[in-house]
Amino acid sequence: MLIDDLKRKPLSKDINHNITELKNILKDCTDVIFREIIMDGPIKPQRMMILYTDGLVDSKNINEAIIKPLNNYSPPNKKPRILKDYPIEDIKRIINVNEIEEIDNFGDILQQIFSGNTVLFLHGSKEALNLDTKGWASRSIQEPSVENVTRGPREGFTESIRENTAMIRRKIKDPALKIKEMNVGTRSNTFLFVIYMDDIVNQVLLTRVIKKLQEIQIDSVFSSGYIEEFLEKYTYSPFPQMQLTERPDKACANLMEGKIIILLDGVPQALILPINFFQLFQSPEDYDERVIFGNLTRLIRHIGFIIAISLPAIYVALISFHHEMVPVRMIVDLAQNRVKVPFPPVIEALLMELTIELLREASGRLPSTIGQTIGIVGAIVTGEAAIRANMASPTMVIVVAITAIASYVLPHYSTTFPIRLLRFPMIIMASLFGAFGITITWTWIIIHMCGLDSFGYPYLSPLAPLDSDLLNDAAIRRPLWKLWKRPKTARKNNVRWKKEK
Amino acid sequence: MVLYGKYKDGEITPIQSYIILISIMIGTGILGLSRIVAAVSRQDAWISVLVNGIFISIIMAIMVFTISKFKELNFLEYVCHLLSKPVGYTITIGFIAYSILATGTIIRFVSEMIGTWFLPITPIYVISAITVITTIYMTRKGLTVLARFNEVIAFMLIPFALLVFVSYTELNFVYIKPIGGSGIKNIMAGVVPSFYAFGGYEIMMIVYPYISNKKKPILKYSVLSMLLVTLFYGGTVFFHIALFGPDEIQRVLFPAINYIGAVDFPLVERMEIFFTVFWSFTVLSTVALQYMTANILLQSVFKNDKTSLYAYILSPIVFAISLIPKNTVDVAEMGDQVGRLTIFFSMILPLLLFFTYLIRKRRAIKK
Repeated sequence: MLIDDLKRKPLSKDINHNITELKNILKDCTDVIFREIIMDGPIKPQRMMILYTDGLVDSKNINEAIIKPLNNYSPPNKKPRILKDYPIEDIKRIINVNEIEEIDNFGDILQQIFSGNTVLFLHGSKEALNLDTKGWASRSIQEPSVENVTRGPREGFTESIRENTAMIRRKIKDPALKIKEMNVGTRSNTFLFVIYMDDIVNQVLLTRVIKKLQEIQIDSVFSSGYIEEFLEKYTYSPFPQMQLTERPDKACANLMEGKIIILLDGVPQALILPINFFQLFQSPEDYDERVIFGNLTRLIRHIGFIIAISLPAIYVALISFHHEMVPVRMIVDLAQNRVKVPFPPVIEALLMELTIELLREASGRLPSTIGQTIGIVGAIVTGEAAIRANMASPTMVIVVAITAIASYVLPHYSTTFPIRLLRFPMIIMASLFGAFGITITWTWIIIHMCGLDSFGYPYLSPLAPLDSDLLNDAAIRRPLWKLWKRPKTARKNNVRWKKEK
Repeated sequence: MVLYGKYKDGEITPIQSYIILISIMIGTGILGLSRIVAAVSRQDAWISVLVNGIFISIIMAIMVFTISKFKELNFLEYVCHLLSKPVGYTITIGFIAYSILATGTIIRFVSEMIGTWFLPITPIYVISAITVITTIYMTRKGLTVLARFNEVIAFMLIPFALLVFVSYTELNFVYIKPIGGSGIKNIMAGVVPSFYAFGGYEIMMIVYPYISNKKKPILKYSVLSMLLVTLFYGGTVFFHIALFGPDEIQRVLFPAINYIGAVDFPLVERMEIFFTVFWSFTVLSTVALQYMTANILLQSVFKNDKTSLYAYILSPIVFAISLIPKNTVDVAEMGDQVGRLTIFFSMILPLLLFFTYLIRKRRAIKK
């Protein structure tokens, strides 16, 4: 039976009935602990039962805050009560737990004990008490592994979702920061937090995102990619319509632009939406370094993007069609280098690119220390040997190497995939139509990107449709004291601060 | 889509409409412009181009003024409203035919150019086919996406424009003198051939109804963008004549391309191929916009939801038209024929609409 179905099943007043029912559901779940407690009641000993999952709870806390006070409780010597048992309100007073909540169905009980809470059953009550006793071993806060910066905060999200929200809350101490709890996956029952700034976010966007999240039909969610695929509109596009980040400071900066952050329990990355294409080129460092250098690095990333997609194709086009464009001195060397290579340039390019992709995949799978060695050794040895064996020309190796380096300019690893993919059709088109093939392929790419949108926001947004945001904080960024207007993702006419005239 | 303010499917921003104007005009015409005009008005060809630009800007102003009175109507509807239903439908269908013809001609012209400069061995029909496929891909998602594409391309026009001024060291200003020496009559006669390079701005009549925010001063800025193109063309022609001289330029088929070949660059030999790469971007957007015109008009005739259907249906026709000419001479002839049609749609039609509007208004006041 799914937890959702059990939520419709209420508790009975009889504690024995409830316990048998639960023991039946939790048969062979050896990690769930039933612990009986007998406390002194007003007239006779009162029977209670606590229920929790071993490993998810702080057992010390359970002993100290729940079992000890209940066991040691001695009724005050006032006038004797008429009641047979203590009512739920009195028990609440005895227990020393910070968060107490009453729940009245089996579904909620299961959900709570599986997320690390303890549930206390009382005889004669239709409600059980949900006590916050979460406490399990988790990774401590570490430096983000992919989005490294040289300047700025060094903390990254962890697998524990509460820790993550705390990191965000520590940075934005404002009541408008809302953290909405949701549940996805009919079986995994994963916690999901939708985080937004209530007075900045576009409310239409927010309701639409929440509706889409509620409509997700899936049994289990283990990573944010699962959510991403359900939310995005263009699944078959190579370009991501959401951004991942493992940096709380980046998440907070995006919240301030009216964007929505989705955090998933057990995932050390947050999803940012909606995004635009230029955002993929931004790194928190851009705002830490001086304006000039922040802009220069952004420019370099944009150039890197173009180089990474089209450099091998340009090489192929030049060698196969437009030798006359290469300066005379250079073309002689180029031709000499290629004399012994048996393949046409396109095969040479595809082979070398394929090798690089293989190396990259292999070094990514291996443990980091070995991976690096394989990467370096593989690249150097294969490159050198390929030239010696006349499988490739030295120029080709340089081209491939520059391309490989350039494709890592994007600050986040998973957004480098479109670059790696698009290079191959570009090479093939260049081999068929030369420079015109490159033009055609770029036209296709640009048209495709023009047609994309991320939750209703055009993907190439400040550039097309053109808008002043482009020069505020997209292609280049102006000094922070000039960015008093929020970008278009925020609610209309929302400013960061009132500009003094 | 609703989220980002008012830009729904098929709608464009005012800025996009100006960029559309610029990028449909800068296309095939620029390549031979200075040769054709200099044949008539010699060293004063650039003055002819400027005069023509000013003249066209006035027409543009009249055009936008007239259609701005019918904010809610599309092309078919306001033409029908002004000139009665049968005439309106005839003109619209004529416009569709003209757009298809023009698209086919430009595609053929592009293929010829690409064949000459990039791919001498590849058969023309292969280049035509790939261009047609690209055009379908560009237009099938409607005007909004195409307008965005043009915005991106607009930034590529900047290096393209800078390439025009590249041979400044080689210029010989004696060729330009005496300014005005060819006589007012010749200068005026040169206006006519220079007109073809400006063709395409009639698209404003079709896209205007799709502008989302009509409160912006569209008239002012569309005239300004016309003047921008005029300045660009005028400057180009001036530089070309200053480099080649009015006599030698007659022997250069495409001065715009050969002009760039006159200079040596450190890294890239044969800069004109580089120029052709930029040029093919702009000309692709010209083709797509011209094709889009036919799609939009067909949509308004048959009242469909989307234009994508026509993007597919019309493609074989356009492809076939692009294969009609047998050789380059035929292409030039076909270009001239289509150019004559342009005069009707971009000069006579706006004036006709304007005067009909005035007469109707006067009648209404009298009543």
